[in-house]
Amino acid sequence: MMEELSRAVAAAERGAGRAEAVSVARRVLEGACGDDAFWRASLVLVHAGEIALAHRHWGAAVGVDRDVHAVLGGRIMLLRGEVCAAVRLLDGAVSRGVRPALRTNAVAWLARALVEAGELGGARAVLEDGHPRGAVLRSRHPDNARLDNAHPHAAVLGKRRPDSAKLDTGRPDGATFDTGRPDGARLGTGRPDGATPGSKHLAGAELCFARGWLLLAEGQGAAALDEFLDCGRLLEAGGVVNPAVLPWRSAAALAAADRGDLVLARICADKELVAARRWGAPRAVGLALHASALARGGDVVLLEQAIACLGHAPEALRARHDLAQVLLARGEVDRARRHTRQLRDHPQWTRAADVLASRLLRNDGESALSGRQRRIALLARAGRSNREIAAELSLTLRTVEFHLTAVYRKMGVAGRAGLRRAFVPTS
Amino acid sequence: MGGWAADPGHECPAALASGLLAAGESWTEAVEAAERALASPVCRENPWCVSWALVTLVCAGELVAADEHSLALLESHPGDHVLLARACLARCTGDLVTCSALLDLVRHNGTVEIRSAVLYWTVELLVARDELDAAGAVLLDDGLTGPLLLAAEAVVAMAAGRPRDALAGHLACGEALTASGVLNPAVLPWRSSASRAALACGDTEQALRLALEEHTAAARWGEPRALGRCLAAVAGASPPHGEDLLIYERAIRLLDMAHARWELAEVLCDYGDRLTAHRKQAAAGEMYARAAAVEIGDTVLRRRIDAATSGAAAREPVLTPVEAEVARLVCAGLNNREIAARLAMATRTVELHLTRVYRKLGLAGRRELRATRWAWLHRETLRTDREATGGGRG
Repeated sequence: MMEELSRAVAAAERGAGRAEAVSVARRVLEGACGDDAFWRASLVLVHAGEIALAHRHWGAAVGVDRDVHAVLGGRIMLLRGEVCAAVRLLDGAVSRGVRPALRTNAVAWLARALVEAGELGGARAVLEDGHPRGAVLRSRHPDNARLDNAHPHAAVLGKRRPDSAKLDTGRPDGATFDTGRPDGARLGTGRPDGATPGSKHLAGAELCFARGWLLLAEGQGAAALDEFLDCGRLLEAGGVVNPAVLPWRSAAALAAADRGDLVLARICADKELVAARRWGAPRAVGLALHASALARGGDVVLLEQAIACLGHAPEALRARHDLAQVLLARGEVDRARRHTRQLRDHPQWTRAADVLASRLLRNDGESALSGRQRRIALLARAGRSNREIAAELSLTLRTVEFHLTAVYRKMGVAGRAGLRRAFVPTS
Repeated sequence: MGGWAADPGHECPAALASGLLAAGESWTEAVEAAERALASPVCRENPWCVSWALVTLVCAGELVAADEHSLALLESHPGDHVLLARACLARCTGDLVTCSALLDLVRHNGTVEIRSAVLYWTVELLVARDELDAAGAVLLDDGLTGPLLLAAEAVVAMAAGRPRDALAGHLACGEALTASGVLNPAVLPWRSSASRAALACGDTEQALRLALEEHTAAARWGEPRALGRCLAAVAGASPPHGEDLLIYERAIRLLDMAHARWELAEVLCDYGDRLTAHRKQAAAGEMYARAAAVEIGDTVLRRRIDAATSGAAAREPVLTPVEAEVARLVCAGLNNREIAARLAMATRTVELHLTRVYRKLGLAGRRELRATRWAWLHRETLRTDREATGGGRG
């Protein structure tokens, strides 16, 4: 049985043979199983998109270790869209000192839950302090990241660390290193080689992903992109290709689209879409569709498909938010309003919905942005200063300011900060 | 690769995949069609279908999928087509040893339909190993025909220092490919190669135009290796105004994403040369070191890296003796006031010397100076200095 479970885990990491993996995991969970098997089988179900099933087994589990139960529960709750419950479970586990083997996963998932809940400060604090080498994050962000944005040549000047060092930052200390599943050695359950590469790199990848997710939410697309690419490197080194484990390519596509690099965004999104369809779990497909839609400059049909695939996952709300923005940019105010109203029912999206609603009220025909205004808006959104924009487009500073004022008025945003969260349609 | 329009004899997803690959527009559909073909029992029996499906996966950069499928096929339906696909895969990831071994094997088996592709890649590998005579001999093989013969001749011409012939060859090859409906640069990046040749002829304008054209086509297909390769060509043909460095960075990121180690090593080297031209020696040194670390067994490239790094070392004494002394002391951890005291000069003079050192080595400041290869190259002297400093104090 344990051997079968190992095969199911491998299938979930490789991203092929979902039905069989699910049936194995289900059988394991229906029988009596140890903490390790419980953890691994539940994660197989989670990756396969069988959230309801995983939730049922989680609720009915008896005699499972408290930490394992809480951390897994957090993951499941997050996927069910119950963000507050996820935060409660994970925060409880992290603050009472979850054991090292689980710690990295707990910290990474807690940070993601906090980001979904809109508590970016909390997420940052968790990633900085909750992690034994909190310095990693601090050394990179936020100041360094901003510096990198401001000086694209920074990497050229020889500051870039060699790849091996880069890989290292993602990894927690040796003690917490071998996660992905709790204490296999102690439980002595069927995984003979305690340090299979998959599990070894997985925890580090989770951390990279959580950091990237936070940076993306903070509007630091460039730094987020680096984290996601690091995450991808770690996963590939561990032979994990299934986007359902960590949708790093979709996330990288979002970050690239945020910076205006639509070509890179499309590469990542398309690759993810193919891989997600291969595995067949709807959530990963939905995330990839969302990313594809943005990489194509805001495709309404793809976004609607994405929302349908995502179901109750918190990412569905983000997709809906983006859809409302795209519709607004297209001048389809009524449809945009309908989606905005649906967003408002969710506490963590109320504020974004209000911003959208006020833009809808003041909407002065965004679709009427001229080509030059659009270019300036995109550059400003990517974090360039007026002076840099003026240099890049060979305009005077005054002209740039003039155009930006028109952009703000047309889009109904209050200023640069508002622009940052707004979707600028590419023609 | 001669028969793009070849009818496999039945309506099959592999034919669809190869059509989409040639047109180079619908990446997702092409990959999914190829995977459908490899899952279909009818196509698996047909070496043509297998070949097209695998080539589509490889050119789409779906290397993991291509690897798994071809390994499975080696057991169930072994054949030269599968071996060639595996050679192609090895080439993509920069495993030139495996690639060359597989190509030799397929070449001696002598399946006619795929002979052109086998011989073309053999020529490329021989040129990379600087075995021009052997490459020239392969060119005479009757099996090498069509656009691939033109491309192979151009590759040899370029290596033999005849860029004009190379340019003409690549352009002719591109014309032939376009005529047969192959518009996808992921199949054969003839414009990048032509761009390099044009650059070697001194025709920057044409080089840039070709590279930009290829970039448009590669962006349409959306595969990072092809895109990275032509971005590097764009950067190479761009004037050194600062933007070129950013383009190199993007190219390197894409090639890294695609695991395209061969192309990556080459582009790192080009980037190093460009950085040297920008007088950023320290950063250039790092790029050469990264290129050397890729280590793929490309003799020509290896020699280029060695020449560049030893050239850099030979150019090292751009620093005057005083400047070098100041730089050394900085590396040893002294501050400006201490250096001034030791060399009996004003602090202001030390600052002036240091400014010149930074400019000459292309560094931003003290921290970078301590981190560069310059410090590493002079570590012997540095150690003495530190001892001397310690001794002076003790």
